[in-house]
Parts: sequence; structure tokens; C-alpha cells
Amino acid sequence: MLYSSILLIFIVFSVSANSINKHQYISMLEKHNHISYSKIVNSRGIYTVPICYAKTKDKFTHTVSNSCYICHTKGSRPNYNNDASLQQKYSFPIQMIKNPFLNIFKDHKKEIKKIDDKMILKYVRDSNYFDKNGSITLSNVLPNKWKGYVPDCYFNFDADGFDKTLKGKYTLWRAYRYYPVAGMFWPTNGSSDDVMIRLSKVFSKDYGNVFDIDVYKLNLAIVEAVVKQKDISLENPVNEKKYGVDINQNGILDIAKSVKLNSYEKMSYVGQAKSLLNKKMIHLALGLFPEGTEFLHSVRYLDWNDKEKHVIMAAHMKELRYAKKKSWKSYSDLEREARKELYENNTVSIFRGNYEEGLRNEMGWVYQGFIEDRDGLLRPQTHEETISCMGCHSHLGSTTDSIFSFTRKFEGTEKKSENYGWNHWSQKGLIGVKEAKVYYENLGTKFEYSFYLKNNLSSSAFRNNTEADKKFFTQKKQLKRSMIQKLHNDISLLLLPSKERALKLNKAYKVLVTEQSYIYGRYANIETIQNVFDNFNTSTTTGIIKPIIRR
Amino acid sequence: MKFLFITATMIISTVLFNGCSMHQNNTSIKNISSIEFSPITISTNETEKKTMRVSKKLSVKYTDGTIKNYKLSYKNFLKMGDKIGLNTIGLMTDKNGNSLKNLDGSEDISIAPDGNSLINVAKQSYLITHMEESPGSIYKTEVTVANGRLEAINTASIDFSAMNGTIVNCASTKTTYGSHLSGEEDYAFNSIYADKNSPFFIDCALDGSGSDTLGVLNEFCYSIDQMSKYLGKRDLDKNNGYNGSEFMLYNYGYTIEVQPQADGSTKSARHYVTGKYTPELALMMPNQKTIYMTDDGIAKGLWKFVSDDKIKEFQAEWSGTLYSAKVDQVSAVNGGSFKLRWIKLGHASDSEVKKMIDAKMKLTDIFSITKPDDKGNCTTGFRKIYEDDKMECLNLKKGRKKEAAFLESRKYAAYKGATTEFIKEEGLTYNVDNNKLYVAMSTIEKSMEDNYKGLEPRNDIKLEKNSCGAVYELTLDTDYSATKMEAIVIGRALNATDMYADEWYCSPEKIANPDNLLYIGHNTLLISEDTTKHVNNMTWAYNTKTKKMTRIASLPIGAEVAGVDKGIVDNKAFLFLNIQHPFKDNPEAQDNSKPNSKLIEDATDEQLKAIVGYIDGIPAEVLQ
Repeated sequence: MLYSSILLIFIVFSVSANSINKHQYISMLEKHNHISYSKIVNSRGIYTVPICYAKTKDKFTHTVSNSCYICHTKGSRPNYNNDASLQQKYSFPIQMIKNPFLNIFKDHKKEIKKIDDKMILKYVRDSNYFDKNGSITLSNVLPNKWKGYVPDCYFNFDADGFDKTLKGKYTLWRAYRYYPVAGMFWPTNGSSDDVMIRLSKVFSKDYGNVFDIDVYKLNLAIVEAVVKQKDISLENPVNEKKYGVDINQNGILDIAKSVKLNSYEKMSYVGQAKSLLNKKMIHLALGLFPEGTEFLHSVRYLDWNDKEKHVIMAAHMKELRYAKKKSWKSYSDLEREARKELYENNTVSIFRGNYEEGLRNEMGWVYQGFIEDRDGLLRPQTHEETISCMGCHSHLGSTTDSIFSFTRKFEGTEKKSENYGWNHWSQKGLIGVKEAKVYYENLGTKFEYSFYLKNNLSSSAFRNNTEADKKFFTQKKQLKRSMIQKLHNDISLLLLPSKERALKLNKAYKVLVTEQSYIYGRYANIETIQNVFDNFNTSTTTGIIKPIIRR
Repeated sequence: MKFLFITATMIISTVLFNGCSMHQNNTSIKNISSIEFSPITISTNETEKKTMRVSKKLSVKYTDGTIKNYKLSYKNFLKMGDKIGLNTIGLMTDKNGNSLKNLDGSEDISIAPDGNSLINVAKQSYLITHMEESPGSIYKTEVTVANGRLEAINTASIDFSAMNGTIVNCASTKTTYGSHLSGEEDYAFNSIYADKNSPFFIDCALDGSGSDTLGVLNEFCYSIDQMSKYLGKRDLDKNNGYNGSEFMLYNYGYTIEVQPQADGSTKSARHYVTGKYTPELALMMPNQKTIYMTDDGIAKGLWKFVSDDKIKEFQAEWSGTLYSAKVDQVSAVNGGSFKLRWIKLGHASDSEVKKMIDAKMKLTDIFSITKPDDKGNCTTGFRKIYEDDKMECLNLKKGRKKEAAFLESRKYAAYKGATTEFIKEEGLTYNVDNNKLYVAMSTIEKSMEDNYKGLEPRNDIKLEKNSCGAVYELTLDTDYSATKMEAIVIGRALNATDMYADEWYCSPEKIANPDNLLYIGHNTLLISEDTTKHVNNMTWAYNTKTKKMTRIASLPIGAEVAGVDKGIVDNKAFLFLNIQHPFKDNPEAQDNSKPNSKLIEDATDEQLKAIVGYIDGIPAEVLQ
């Protein structure tokens, strides 16, 4: 195999890596994986995800399940998107009435049987991110003039969640813990994942333009307060005089224990970022990240911790997703873009950009990703595969500046506490994490995951996770009260699957890897999914009368 | 290429024949016998699809037999957000003229420049430019010619606070005396949504988010919120048709007139007597009494207003009679032909109608309303009507004929038996050389098909679907009243095996979804497109005598042609053509596929900017 041997040469002789040109690299990947980097093979509309085709009405019980509200809701300013009507109707462009996600109609049981447990465990424990020398494989393999993101996170986190190179230098990536989005991002429904944030370099420089990790830390806390539009406690008290910014907004420069939002006009970043803000070279506005903010999100297989007997994040990545805020969009720009939806005919959305530099959304972000090739090594996603990122990171009412996880970040400042925010999941996992509370309009404050179970009547959008459903529902589809009580205190009871299910899910996804069939759906279904439409009647409704609006 | 030259009827004789009193500079026009634009090709390669292309040459044949060729080019003039003098064009403002700033301090700049009028007053020249928005906005930009190019000196949004603002200012025309008429193309403010006693009532949250009380985004609620933002008040009464201290639903959806004054000020008026519906635009006839209005959307009417007296200059108060067209189909072939009759709706003056609005009326003060039953029938006493793509059962209340005529014009027209089955009526223009009126019908489908959905109470129009649209010619009598309507230019949907079908839905040899129309004299009717059924939206020159079609402009892919107008400044002629939303619409091929998606995906932020611009090089005598 020419491809594998070339790649091997790269990995072993990383000094001479990157010498292959882009054209050679891409055509090699195309041939090896039988994919096309620029052509649309399945559909330009695959920014919708398979669960958008879920049947909400149960044909046996005649009940109506609502998992739609997780994504489709009335946004909070400055997310002016309001797609709550999608809880009520399947509003697809005519070209998308036929479900393009053919993979979810497949039964993978036979293929799964062919993969034994040991094999899959070995596979998921093998890193496809690092080579044997601990250097990042993709950074060696990607061609020299690669215009997109070149992975540079070492997953080597200190106690504060800061990532460092093998030589101990800060990469400025910082890992955080967060409540996984209900349903789809629960490990019990397929994958584990992690997220890192990085602000642009100026946020790590003091007024004298010298690197200062405390400046960076404080700026991250300020960004958290700004983006979440709420006060944020600081890990350590901060002497405001050092920064010349009234961080706790008490009118004097003293010792601040938290970032406060009393007067948003008076808010500022600190250090060099403050200077740039004053010169209007960067911006600060509630609900928005500053220009240059990056996110790195690895989606991984499920590993089994033999000692502690629970599922953990695997070393092997399914995907590595990347986002960067390239340009600033004001509230007015955002409102205008969002309202255009009112007048646009129901047509397939177009996302500008390409597989290399990523696709742009209308909030100023660019999204790009890497996915496994047929041998399990990470390769750039094709253009069509990248389109898959854009449905969730564009017009939804549920995101904050098109990002999901950061507003879901834990806010604990004590390293020992179960909700300490700045750690990687490998440092502190899901076990023992208490359930979050969320306010829903007209309904009040509810436990978030319990509320999902209650409204969706299942632990997954397709209502096909029998393991978790059996755990939380009676045979008559009633929620088990005792389990809900337990869930309030430990979300891992719901989120983590058994070893048996985890391995099955891994295997089911591995089938797609071998097929390289991601454009037909990346959902790790073990068997054919039943509660899903393969074709719509344009008048089909969800049966949901009152949409659920999260505040 | 051999050009065909057709001798035009001299304008001066036509003017005399028509007995009109238009102020025309006839001395130069009479010297021209014909004009011919050099055709541009159908775009084939990526560069052609992505760029603005216009005819390279205009050949003018003079009555003395000489032919002169003029080089043409397209010049960008303005971009929304440009700072001109002290102000920013396109900046959205509130009732007090203050920038409609968002909470982050950002200003809101319109991205939808539409109707243009170049107007000369005394020694000044102004370009009036619409923003097709809610709230509406119209900018007046003082222009001059410097170094052979049009230059903007300063700009300002016109103050409409006295009339509580405007909404969705769409297309425009100039009156015979040189003022600007604007259509308030409002789709949202149909009173059926505003009245609690209506079965179509929408319960808005009124929190500025454009949502209803369930939290779902709604166009009606959004438009209400936007107007509240403009007015700075949210004191709306949902129990009384959403009327507030300043917002009144019946105040929007008419013809607005704007007249720049010699002293630099601007006079403006809302002419309520032209009726409330979704006016694309209004066009005054040379008799200065008859005005036609088109109505955009599905299941709409065609309108005529006849003033009591000649309107010779700007006057805030008009009075006259409003009519709605009733068609009798004569033929269904090639877009069809119809006899036209006019059903009188009522007589009023602007101030009379304004008084009704100020009395804070709502729909059920005028009509009782119910929905048809499952079989599509109305209960006794109610008449079934079809308007605005809705079937309604109405019963006119006693003594409310005048209110119905002017505040519920389309409902009343349908109620009285007029035809409300037109679809997407767009541009209107008048041919002074043959006394014909042209109307663009963007598409022929739905309400114009034979008994659409089997529910049409009248079914006056029974045509075959043609989603490429048509331009109709209306024959006028000596009173400028239209008596006949006939399709003269029609588009054609391609078949799978046709040439071009791999990229085009409608034949590129014909029009697709016509919108702006402008008759520029010399038997030349300009037809401009707003379509996703051509790879590039185009402007055509249609010779009304020879029927020859010439492509004269091909816009960047994804853009619509808007704001077509002609004007002269310092004896230099300008033919305006806005490039609205370039690289946004994704054109479809015969099989509904979108083979040019890649071009749309590759667009840069710079390419996405809307442009107000003009074709340069046309000699002044041609456009005079």
C-alpha cells in the first residue's frame, strides 16, 4: 500500500515531513479512501443531522417526544436566531425531504460480530493523534503550505488545565469541563469528547507586551463572564491595581474575587488586550467571544477503565474539530443575518469556504475538521464532510456565538470540587458530577437532563438506547423516581454506558470508518434505526404544540 | 453583428396625439430614429458568471441617417454604509432621526437598496434610494458630475416621522412633475393577524424579539416589533387590533410620495387613497389623474386610482376614486389575454382615510370574519374570498363601505367581485410612444392557475403554470383606463433535453421572473429580472416594435437587478441598476439542482456587498 508506506516514512522521518505538496497529498487521500475532496457526492444539505429526521410521534404509545428543543429554540441575545418553530414542524428544503443519511437505515450487527472485543479495545487505545515519539502526527503529515489549522495541542495539561508542549511551553490551549449537550453528546449515545479554548496571543501579554499566564487566566475569566453574561468567580483573588481595571465593578481598584457585569460599558480585558480594545482593534460585547478565539474539540471512542470499572475517554480520536473566530460581527450584523431567515425561501443553505481553510458561518467563525481515514489515521475532512459541521454551528437558537460547550462550562474554582471548570476530562471525569439546573420559559427552573428524559421519553433522540432507557424508565414508560434522584447527584449514571454497549458503539462506528461513508451519516447505530423518517410528506408535523424555550 | 434599425414614432407627435402635457425636452429626442444595445452573451465561464457585464456599445441612429456608437460601461456608485458628507447611507434610524443602535452600540446598516429616482430640482440633483426594510427608509443623496462621473456630495435619510414612518419601501417611479413615488410593499400587516376576533389572530410577545407568545419567530410579530423600535413606543393594544398611541396597523401599505425642494428640504406624503395592500409601486399616467398600482405576493389585485383633479405638483392631499381590476379571460395561450373592467371601490381623500386610521379601527369593525369549513364553504351571510394566499369568509358591516375600500382594499375588491388572483405583480412602466402600460408578472403559478387547490371562489384566471413569468401589455383608452391585458414577453421553462438545461431552469434566450420595468423611449422597454431560474439575473432591452430581445446586463451570480431608473445630471445620462444581494441566491437548473453552488460558496466578503451603480456612456439625448 503506497499510501501507508509514504505515511510511515513521514512519521518515522518527521524531519523530512511536510515535503509532499498539497495536490499530491489530497489526491493520495482521495484514491486511498475512495472519496472526493471537492465534489458533493451525497448532498449539499447534510448540515442537517440524522436526528432531525427522528419521528417524534410514537406509533405504539401515541406519545410525542420532544428532543428538538435542545437545538431549536429562541436564542438569547445576541443570538438572534429563533428556530423554535422547528420543534413544531419538519421544515426541510424540498431537496432534503428524502433522508440522505442512508447509514442509519443499515443494520451493523453482522459487521459488529466480526470485530472482537480485544481488537476494538486495542484500536481505541491506540492514539491516532500522536506518533510513537509523542509528536503530533497530523502536524508532520499535513503538507507545507496547508492554509487551515495544523494541530498543535499536546493534551499535556497542568493542574490549571493549561496545555504545554513536550518542552513545557504553554500552547495557550486550556481544557475545560462542561455539561455535554443532552442526548447526542452523551457517551451512552456514541462518543466521548473534550473541548479546549484558546484566546489570541495578545490576551496572554501584559501591558509591556510580555507573556504573563496570570494575565491570560484573568482574560479567560473575563471572556467567560462576557460570553455567559453573568458574574464569574475567580480562582484566586486579583489585585485590580496591577491591571488598572475595576474587575469586580465596585467603583474602586481593590482586590477582586469575581468578574462582575454591573456595567457592561465599563468592562475591559486586561493587559495588551485592553490596549487593543481601547484602540478598537478588538471588541468586547456580551455573548460574544473576541476575535481570534479558537476551539478544539476531539470526538473519541469509548474506552473501559478496568480498575474503576467505568467508561472513559479513549486515546483514539474519531474526529478533531476546530473553530476560529476570524471576524467580528456586531449585534446589528448578527440580527440582520438571523432575520434573513424569515424571508428566505426554504432552500438548502450555502456555507462559504473550503475543506482546507474551513467553512464560514455568519457569526464570523470558520469551522474545519479532521476525521479517520480507512486505516484510522486522521485526515482532513472533505468539503462535503465539513458541511456536516455547519448545521449545528450556524443558525441554531441554542448556541452562544455559534459555540455549544463554553456556556455549559463548569464554574467551580476549587480544584478538588466535582464541578471544577478548568480541567481536561482525563484529569477529572464525569463521575460524581451533579446535574445542572436550567430555566425554561413558562416552566421555570428544572434539572436539565431529567427534563430531557421527561420530554423526550427516552435517553436518545431516536429512542433506541434501550440500556439507558431501561435504567431510567419503567416498562410503562414512566420515569423511575429513584433513578432521577440519583441522577441529580451523579450524571454519569445516565451518561456512561456499560462496557458491553460501549464496545458495540465503538464497533458500529468503526464500520463507517472502514467504509469511509461519513457523508451518509456518522451516527454509530448498532442496528437499523426505527423511529426515523426516510421520506417526508411536506405537511408532516411533529405533534409538538408548545415549543420548549430555554432561557 | 448587423443591427436592425427601426424608426421610432417621434415623441412630440405622440405627446400631441395623447394630448398630454409632459415636460419633455423634445428638441434633442426627435433627432433620434432608433437605438440598439450591443448584446451580451450568456455567461458560460466562471469569470462571466461572477462579474457585472453590460452591453459594450449603444448604436444610435439619427434621423439624418448618421449612426453613432457610444461606449458603455458599468460604474459602481455607492455601497450601503458609505459615509457621504456628514451621514452614512443606509443607516437605519428611529423616528427622531437617531441611529437605531443595538445594545453593543453597533449601528444598523441596510443591505437592501431598492428603488432609485434621479430627480433634478432647480440646479440640484438628488438620487432618492429606497431601503427595502421594516421600518422602511429612504435616502436622499445630493449628486453632481465631476470628472465625467456621478459623485455623491451628501446624503440623509428622509424624515417620515410626521407619518409615523414607512415600511418596506420597494420599487419606485417618478411622477410626470418629477416627484418620487414609493410602494410600501408590506406583506406582514394583513389585519387578519391583528384582530383578536379573527381566526387568524397572532398573539405576539411584543418583547422586541419578533416572536409570538409561544416563543416562535413570526413575520407579523417581527414587523410590529420593528415598527415599535422605530416609533420608540411599545404601547400596543392586542385587544384592539394592535393599535397603539402611534402605531396603527392600517397606517402602512400605501403609496408614499417624496418631493425634494429647491431649498434643500423634502416634502413627503402618504397617499392613503391609493388603497392598502402590498404595493410594489405606483405609476402616474400622462393625464396626471390616473395612477396604477401593482400588488406583490400570492392572490393579489391590480389597482387604479383616478384623481378628481389633475395633480400637477406635489400636494399632500389627493382625492379621487379607487378601482380594482376584474379580468375576463379571453385566451390561455402564451401567458393569456384578458379583457379588463374596473370595479369601483370608493371615493375619498387622503385626510378622510387618515381620520379612519386615527380612530384606531380594526378588521372586525369593518368585516365579520370566519374561516371556511373543512369543505371550503362559508356560512350563510358570509362571502368566501381569496386574498394574500388565504381563504376567508367575510361579511361587510353596515355603513363600512368606505373603510372597506381604503383600509381593506384587497378584501373589499375580492368581496365585490374584482380579481385577486394575480401573483407577484412587480414593475410597471408606461410607453408614451404607443400609449401602452406594461406590468411584470414574476411568475404564472398558484393563484393564476386554473382553480388553484380547487378552492378559488372566482377562478377568473385559468392559466397553465409558467414559473418563468411574463410581461403583460395593457391597452389604454383615451382616459388612460386599461381595457385589455395580454402577455407580450414570456419566459420558458426548459425541458431536460434542451440546451442549457444543465445549468438553467428557464431558457436564457428568454426572460425569467421579470421585476423592474422601464420604458426608456425609442421603442425600448427594459425588463430586469429577480430570479433564481437564470444563472445570472439579466436586464433585457425589448424592442416593442420588432419584438427583438437584447441582453444588456448580466449581474454577478446570486444578485437581483433593482432600482432601475434613468436620469440626467449636467447633461450627462445615467441608467441606474442596483446589484442587490450578489452571491446570495443560488440559481437552479432544469432538474432543480444547483450546479453553481461552488461559485456561491467561494464568494469573498467584498463580493457580497450590494452596490448602487449605473450604466455609463449613454448620450443624454437618448434618455431625455
